[in-house]
Parts: sequence; structure tokens; C-alpha cells
Amino acid sequence: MLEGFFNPGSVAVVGASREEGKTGYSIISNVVKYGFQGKIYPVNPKASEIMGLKSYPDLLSIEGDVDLAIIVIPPKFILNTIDECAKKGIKSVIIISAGFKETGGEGRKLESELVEKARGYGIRLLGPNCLGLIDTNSSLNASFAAGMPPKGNIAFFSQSGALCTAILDWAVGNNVGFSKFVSLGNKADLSELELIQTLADDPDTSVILGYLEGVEKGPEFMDVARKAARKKPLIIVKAGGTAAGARAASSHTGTLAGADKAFQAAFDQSGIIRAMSIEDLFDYALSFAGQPLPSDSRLAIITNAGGPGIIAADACERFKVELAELSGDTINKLRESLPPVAGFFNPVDVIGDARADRYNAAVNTVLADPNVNGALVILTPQAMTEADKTAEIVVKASKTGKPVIASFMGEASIKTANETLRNGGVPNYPFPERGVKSFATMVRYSRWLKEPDPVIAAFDINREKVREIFASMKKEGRLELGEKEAREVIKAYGFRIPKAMLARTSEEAAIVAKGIGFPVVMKIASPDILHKTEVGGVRVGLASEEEVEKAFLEITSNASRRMPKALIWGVSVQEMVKKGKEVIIGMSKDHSFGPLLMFGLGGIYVEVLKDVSFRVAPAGKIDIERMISEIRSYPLLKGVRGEAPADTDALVEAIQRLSQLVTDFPEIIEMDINPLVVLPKGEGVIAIDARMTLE
Amino acid sequence: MKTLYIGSINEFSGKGMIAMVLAMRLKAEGYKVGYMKPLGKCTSSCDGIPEDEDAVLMKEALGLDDALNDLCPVTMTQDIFIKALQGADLKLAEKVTAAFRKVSQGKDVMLVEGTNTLYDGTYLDLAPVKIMKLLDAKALVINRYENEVCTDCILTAGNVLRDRMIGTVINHVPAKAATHVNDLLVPFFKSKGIDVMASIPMDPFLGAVSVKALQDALNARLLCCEDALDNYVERFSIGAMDVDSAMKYFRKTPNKAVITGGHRSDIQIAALETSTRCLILTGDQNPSEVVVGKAMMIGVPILVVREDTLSTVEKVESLVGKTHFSGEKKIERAKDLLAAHFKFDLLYNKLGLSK
Repeated sequence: MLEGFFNPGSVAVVGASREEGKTGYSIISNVVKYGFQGKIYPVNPKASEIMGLKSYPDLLSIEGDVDLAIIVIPPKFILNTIDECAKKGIKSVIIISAGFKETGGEGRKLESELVEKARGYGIRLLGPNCLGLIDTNSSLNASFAAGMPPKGNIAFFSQSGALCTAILDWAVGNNVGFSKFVSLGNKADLSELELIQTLADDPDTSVILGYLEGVEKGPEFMDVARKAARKKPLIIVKAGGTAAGARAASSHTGTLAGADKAFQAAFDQSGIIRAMSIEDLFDYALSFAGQPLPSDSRLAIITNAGGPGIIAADACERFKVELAELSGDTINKLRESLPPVAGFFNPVDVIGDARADRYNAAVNTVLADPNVNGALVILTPQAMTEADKTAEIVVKASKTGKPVIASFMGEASIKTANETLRNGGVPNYPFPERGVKSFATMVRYSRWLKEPDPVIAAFDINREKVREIFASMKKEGRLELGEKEAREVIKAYGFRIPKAMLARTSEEAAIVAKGIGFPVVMKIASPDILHKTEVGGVRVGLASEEEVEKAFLEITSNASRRMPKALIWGVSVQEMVKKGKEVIIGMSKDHSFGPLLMFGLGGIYVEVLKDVSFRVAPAGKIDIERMISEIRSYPLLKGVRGEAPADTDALVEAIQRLSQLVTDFPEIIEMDINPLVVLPKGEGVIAIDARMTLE
Repeated sequence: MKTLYIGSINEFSGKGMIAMVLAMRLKAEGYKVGYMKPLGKCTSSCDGIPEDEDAVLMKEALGLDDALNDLCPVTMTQDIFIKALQGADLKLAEKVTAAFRKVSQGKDVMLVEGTNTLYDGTYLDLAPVKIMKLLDAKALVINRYENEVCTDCILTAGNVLRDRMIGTVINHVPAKAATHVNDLLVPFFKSKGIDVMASIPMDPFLGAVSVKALQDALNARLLCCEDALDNYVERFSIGAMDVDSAMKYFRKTPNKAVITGGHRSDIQIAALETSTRCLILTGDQNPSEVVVGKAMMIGVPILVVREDTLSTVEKVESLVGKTHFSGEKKIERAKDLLAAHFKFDLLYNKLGLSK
């Protein structure tokens, strides 16, 4: 895919310029300067020769075939140029020029005309309003960036062109190798979707990095990303995660990104490694690009200083990395090669006066231990330290199949050591925490790779019933389901709900209660009262007809006193459900990813505790299990102080059914089942209350 | 000739709409239909003569040749107000009778539109009950559902008007109250001898305000989409919260205008991605070009006002559902609504009309 962009046989630069300082000059000069091997055709009606190449007045005057056109002319001429591209048989076009969607009305119109035209011709577009692209393997620098990164196995795509230039400069300065660099610009045609697919299959790329501000087709994005992440790590920074950031992004791009929690869930479910900062992005990139994946999370720390070792141990706990427990054998071997005052347990302290030989013994001994999945080598420059030699030892040790990460701290005396490490593919961080964090990220990815693909359960449900209910609501122009309707909907999807009936008078209530069986629960039935408890609209454990009659009058008069304008239908008399753990399950619709499932413990306290987790629907069983176990109060579900554990299997199934419901009916924009009572293991779950809103 | 007085129990009950639809229906069926509003409000002025807007609209809709001051012989002016309180004999009842004689000339059916309540006009010696007697009219009494139906009001009207009252209409019934009204109240009134001619569901479109009307009322600058000034706004949403919460409300609120600050591009874009008929930006700040471009693409006018969000909200809230009933789209909608819910046969029958 996109071969014409990355490895064209010939390139035309429309708008190539002889004047230094112009973008048209930078582009043609980059194409020429960095050794592109194919044919290069500058196009400029006012020039006969540019940079020693024959210049053409237009695309059609070029004798040979053109695979890729790079356009850097004012927007108003571009539609014409696309016509010429079509006549010339050019299928790949990069539009560098700005002045489209990002400028408002006219530009937006022009951009959609551009896309329509290109699609009609079967032409793929990168941009507009982008920096261009770079492929180090075909030596094509089709950008106006200042420089060319060395060859490497990291690919980077970005929605921000300016960020591209900054990263590029960093890559050149730090000698970090890249395979491809792509600036997406306005994403008028090509977006991250095609890029990720292409890079996933690119043999020159082993790590994909991306910077995104938003995603337009969420579900498709997740699908493409998941497939790519199965092949190689996909690390993405998603900007605009905070309210302030989102506002900045929206006025920048004119689109609205989904909620950050939706991105987090989507990334988790698709195996995307999320970097929270640009620093993280490159920290992770260096680890993934240079080192094998750890098979598990047991890390050994080798250090020549106590303090940094402790800091690294702290970081392990914080990032959920296990400090490997060294085997007796390993400890004995360490005792043989290290001085008696050394630390033989993890972190292994080779002591401040350690030379390279001590590091050599310690690192290799520890890595040979089957209890160790990877090593972090910390070095602080001291008088006796042999940084360069140690670096060589670390590089050699990193070739044994387990990942090795370095943290050579300092600056002046470790310059050459740093270079040795970098050239040897060992990620080196100035501070150990960053090393641990990168290792933790590799562990997470490695575990995700071992998981099977999510299987979306399909239960036997009554779709027709729900369709009927929704149809009658739409006919009446109603968007919010009453309690009764909401209960019918979830019942059709296999939820167990307590028996309930509406009573309009106290006598009716007594009759209904008798029919259901004592004890009963009574709740005010009113379309205007959402929070029933607050208005004194709920009574539980009513055990006789007299109690029910009395409760009816109390509940209705409480409600009309506290909410005089509410329409009161009567009181819902319900079966009293056995005690269990109250949870909330629900969903809201996200702008980018569609239905976003929510789970939390707490029943009526959920709003205070905010202990909730999210997944994009449809979610697989494994994702839902993780969704349940990742909330802070999860231990309560497992049972504390001798309590019986709750029926989490039934809870998983309930969320699967919810996922099926909201996927089947995209018109549901918001719903929750609260509380859902989770009974002890083997007894299932019961949905007490539900509410739902349609679009 | 048959005369029907369309009276009202509370404000904005939909008299104008019912009079308009009924008149057009009768006219289409071949009846010669006349109209009168005995006591009007001075809501517009032409050549210095106070005119009632409902009368103007009805004259136009029915193509009546009568003079406006015959269609609406008395309009409430400061003069009349003070003189009546000073005890002057204004002879308004005579004025009404004389005008009625003129405008009912050659008509089969006369529709007489009443005042906001069944008391309005009493101090002018123009109590609705008196007018009904003077014009020998039957009465249809309309009640707008506002949190509840005023059961006592309707029963009292029945007791006072007796045989003159041919029935009542409960208008603006929200879906949540439909069962309550239709299953409990309609049979109840029937048992008391009062026919409910219609229980009309609430239809936000009928109370909607055009963007043009908003622009006038807010004295706003229009940034784009002049051709969409006849977009109708049914509801207002305020975009002051974070964009995720805003999106939730926006999705639930169709055909709305969103009121927000000029700098809130996130809210503006969220609004444009849901069912929005107009953006009202406060604080005299233009939005970013990206937003204007998007609005132009989908034809959503942007109004910019000087006031802050709060005062803008106060202004617009007084507009919805309180406009004079007019506009082709609304008339069509009202015709359909009444065709589905109004017992025209019963009304004709009780008025003594053949069809």
C-alpha cells in the first residue's frame, strides 16, 4: 500500500522554485539533496532549469511517467493541477500548500472539491497543509523539513507538521534512526487509518509512532490499530486529552475529538500503547526499537549507587513492575564475583568503586537467572567508573534475548558511553524512572500480544420487542424512556428484573403487593422525578397491606410536597430483592468511538466515588473482565472479611448483554442500569432500575 | 348564520392556531367564513391606527375585505385603559355589535377570537360572557396544559356558560401526561356534560421562533447563512459546561439554538455536529474561521450579540411558544395535528353545521 508515495520511480515537484527561502525551493532541494534515485521533474512555468534539472511548464509536458506529484502552489490552482495529474496518470499526490479547511469557509469548500475530484480520478492525496513525507530507505525526502534522519526502524506519522520538524531535528541531533516520516496535514483523504495499515506491513519499520489530535472513524480505527498492533508496537500520543487541550484542538482542526476516557478505552482494547507525553513517546520508541520484548514483568536492577537503585525500586512498584527475586544460585554466583559489602539481592549493588568487570559479572549472572525477564543497568559516574567499557558490556549483554535498559546518569563523562549504547540499540535514559516506565510498557504490550483476539458474545435476545418500543416512542416524539419501558427493553435483552406494577391508589397498591408477595419495595412513579430517594419517594421492606397503603400515601404526598410541579402517575410496587453488591453499568455515546460502556461500584454513591471504568462497545469478554477488575473497589466484589464473593461471571455477562444492546441500537445515546444487584456467586444479577435516552 | 366564540382559560393556549385552522377548513368546504376579534391588543401599528396582529394575520389568511378596525373594533390603548377607569361611557359594546353586523354580512359562520382568559375585558364592559350573549355565540374553551389541566377552570366555565359552551380543548399536552389526560380527564369531563373536542399533543415546532425573529429580538449581527433565516428554533441550549457534558444535552435536544461565548469553539463545533438551527454567540466575539466554515457548509446561521449569555437567555426565553401563530410551515403542521386529534364532526354537529 501507498508504494507510490514511499518508493516512487519518479517525482514531479509542482511549484518548484529557484528562490532559496521559498517552500517550493526547500522541497525540490530536499528531493535532490538526499539522494533520491528516481527521476525528478521540477514544474514551474517561469523557469527552464532548477537545481541543474530541466524544468517543465506543466505536468503534461513531462516526457516520462510520473509516479508521485508534490504540489506546492497556491490553493486556487490546485484543482487544475489535479486534472493534469489525472491526465498524466499520476495516482499519488502530496499537497503541501495550506489554505484549506484550516482557514474556514472557502477553504473548507475547496478542500471538499479537491477530495471529490481526486476520488473521481482514483488519486490518493496526502495533506493538504502538511510538511510532506520522508522515506529513508528510498532516500526520498519529499518535505520541507530541515534535515534527513538516519536510517532506522522507527516510523512516525503526525497530525501536526510542526511537531514533525521538531522530532526530525531531534532525531538528526541524537542520531536516532527512522524508516519513515509522514505529516498527515488536514487528512483530507489519507488518514492515520491507511498510514497505520501501510506501516504495519512495512518490512523496514518495526515500531510505529504517531501523534494524533482526533480520530474520525473510531471503530474502524480500533480495528486497523488492533491488526497493526498484533504485528508491531503502535505507540501514539493523543493530544487534547484535557478540557483546555480539547478546546485548543477544536479551534485548530474544526473537529471534535471524543472524550479522553474513550480514547483510553479504545487504546487499551486495540493494544495501542498510549504515550502521555512526547517524552514518553520517544522513551518507549527507543526501548521497543532496540530491545526484545520481556516475557514477563520481573526486572533485575544492577546499580553502582544505592540511591538511584532505591528510586528504581520505587518506580517498579509504581509502574507495576515486579522486582525479580533472584535464585539462590544467582546470589551465590554474585557473592563469588562481587565484594562482600555489595548488595546481592535485587537491586544488585556493585558498589561505587565498580569497574567494568564487576558490571560484566553482575549483568550476565543476573540475566542468566530464569527468574529474571529483563535488566535495568544504572551507572553513576564516579572516579573509578569505566563508563565506555561498561557500555560495551551492556550492549553485548543485550543481545542474549532478554531486554536490557540502561540508565547512565550524568552528562559530561558519559558522552561516548551514550553513543556506544545508542549504536548498540540499548535504550539509555538519564534517569532510572523513565527506564522502568519503558520496561513496564513493554511488559504490558507483551502480555497483550499473548491474549487471544476479543470474542464478541451474541446472546439470544428479543430484538424485535425493543424495536417496537423505540418505534412507538419515536412516533410520539419522545426521547426519554419511562422506567417501565426501560425495564422492558433490558428484559428483552435477558436481564432479570424484579416483578413490578404501577398502582394508582393505595387500595390498588395493596392488591398489587399481595399479588407480588411480601415484603415489597415501593417507589414513586413520575416522569419528572429522577432522584426518587431525595424526595422521600422510596420505601423498602413493606411487609403487610396496611404498611403498603400507608406508604403509598406518604410517598405520593412527599413527592407532591417536594416537587409540586411533577406529574405523579402513582407508585411502582416491586418485589424486594435479596441483598447483594450494588453496581452501576451504563453507556454514553462518544463522539469518536460510539457507545462507551461504563462500570462502577456504588449504586447511589457512584457519583461521589467516581470509581468507574470504561470500554468501547462491542467489547470482548476479556476486555469486560479487565474493566471490572480495574476499579479501585474491585476487592469488595471478591468479598472482604468473610463475605461470599459476588457473582462476577454473571456481572460479566450482564455487561456483555448491555454491549450487545447498545451495539444493536445505535439510537441509544445514554443509558444506565443502576443499581444492578450482584448476588453471591452462582445466584446471578438483578437489574433494579434502568434509564435510557434516544437520539 | 352560526357564531363560535373561541375563548381561553390561560395565556398562549393556541386560540389563534385553532381559529386559523378551523377557518381555513370551513372555507375549503365552501362555507363563507368571517372573523372578528372584539377586544384586541395593540401589537402593531399601521398609519397610526392601532392594529391587532392576530386580526391582521387572519384577514390575510382568509382574504377578507373588511376593514381592520371592523375585524378588531376595540384595541387596548392607554386612552381606553385610563378612560374606562375614570368611568367614561365608552360604548364599546355598541361598537362591537355594530362592527359584528358589518363583518358578518353574508357569512355562514363567524369565528370570534376571545381574550387571554374568560375574565379579560370585564372592566371595559366587554366580559367574554357578555360578548357571547351579544353576538349570540356558542363557545369553545381552550386550556393550555401547563404542569396540569385546570380541571376546576373548565368545570366553572361549564357552569357559567351552560348550553352556550359546546366543548373544551386541552392543548399542549406533553407525551408523559397523555395517558392521564385521555384515560382519566376526558371521560371525567364527559361525565360532567363537557365534551373534550380535542386533546392536542405538545408540538415544539408550533411554538418555534424563526432565526429572523431571534435576530430582530436580540439585535444581533448575522455572520453567515442569510438563506437560512427561516430556520425554526424550538429550544435553547446553553453551552457553558465542558464539551462532553454539552454533547450529551445537545444530542437530546433537537432543532435548537445554542447560546455560548464566541471563544468556545469546542462547544460551537459540538453544536454544529448535532441538530442545531442557529448559533448565538455572546459577548460580541466572532468565532474562529473554522467554525464559520463549518456552519456555512451545513447552513446554520450564526448570530453574534453584545450581551452576555445570561441576559441573552432571558431575552430568548420570552419568545418561544409565545409568538403569534403564523407562517406557512406552521399552518400546515397545525392542520395535520388538528386533523389527527380534533373531533370536527362533533363540533359541526353542535354548531348546527351540516358537514
